[in-house]
Amino acid sequence: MSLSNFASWLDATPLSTSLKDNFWAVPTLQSIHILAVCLVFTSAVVVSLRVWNLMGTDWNPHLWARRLYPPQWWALLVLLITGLLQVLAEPTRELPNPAFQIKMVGVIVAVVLAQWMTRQFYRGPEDVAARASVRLTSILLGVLWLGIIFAGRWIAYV
Amino acid sequence: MITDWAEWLGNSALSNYIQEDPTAFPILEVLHVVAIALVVGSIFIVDLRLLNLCSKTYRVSRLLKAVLPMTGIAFTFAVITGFLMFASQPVRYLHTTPFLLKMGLLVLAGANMLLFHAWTHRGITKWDDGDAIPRAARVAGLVSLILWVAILFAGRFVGFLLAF
Repeated sequence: MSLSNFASWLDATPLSTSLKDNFWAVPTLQSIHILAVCLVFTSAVVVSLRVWNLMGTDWNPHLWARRLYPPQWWALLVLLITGLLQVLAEPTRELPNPAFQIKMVGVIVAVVLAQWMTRQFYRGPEDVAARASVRLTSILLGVLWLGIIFAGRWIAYV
Repeated sequence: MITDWAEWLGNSALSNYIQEDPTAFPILEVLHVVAIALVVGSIFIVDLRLLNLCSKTYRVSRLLKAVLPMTGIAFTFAVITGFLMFASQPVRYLHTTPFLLKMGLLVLAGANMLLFHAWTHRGITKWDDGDAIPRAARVAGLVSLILWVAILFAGRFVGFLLAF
């Protein structure tokens, strides 16, 4: 089964039809999706700024990471669920879309990096934020989320 | 009067450019989403502290100093990109209910913030590091949290409805 066949099959499923029939379903899912983006992106930016000593120095980077990473993982779960439902609502618009495909590759890389960062702050020694690998990955992750937001919005225009 | 201004803006060179360049509007949208993500995300950190739910060991006044500059910069970007999107077809925006709702909610969020800074924030040294955050500050945090979620929803509905 090709990707476009699969998208067409998904498009005809009862859940997809009911999401399409409900006019408010997609913008509501999009709004919840963006709300979760707020948590994930802000977490990445704040931890990165803290690691580079540019903000919130009353707390060490570990405290910031432990404050922001748990809600970030819940937000990522919300992103997955609302994202899947949006794909289900409009599979023929999303699955074959290059912007969507690029976004998914980006998301996989970002989740791996976010998992690595989380592990450093939860298991590593207290000065883990001084490591070049952590400092550079924090920037890379911020830039990656930026690209993912870009690709996500671009789905509507490809 | 505002309709005259909207019509004038809609016929300006700026408006024409944003309408005609196929990438101008989507780029503005992306930048607007990025700015909003930082505005809402950073405000949540403050609101949840005021509600005494998170960051309890961070002094409130210090947290405000740490986070609000980021909120301010991001909000400025959101206003600029938002205005440019509005400028693409101002008359249509003024006739879109969620847009008017969003503007009204933004005014309320601004008033809530001003009230907090002018009134509740004054005695902050008394409750800065403790758990006993006064009711007025908790209410300000809760109201802010609700308003910003509503602003975000209203904003997405503006984009969704105008796409038709």
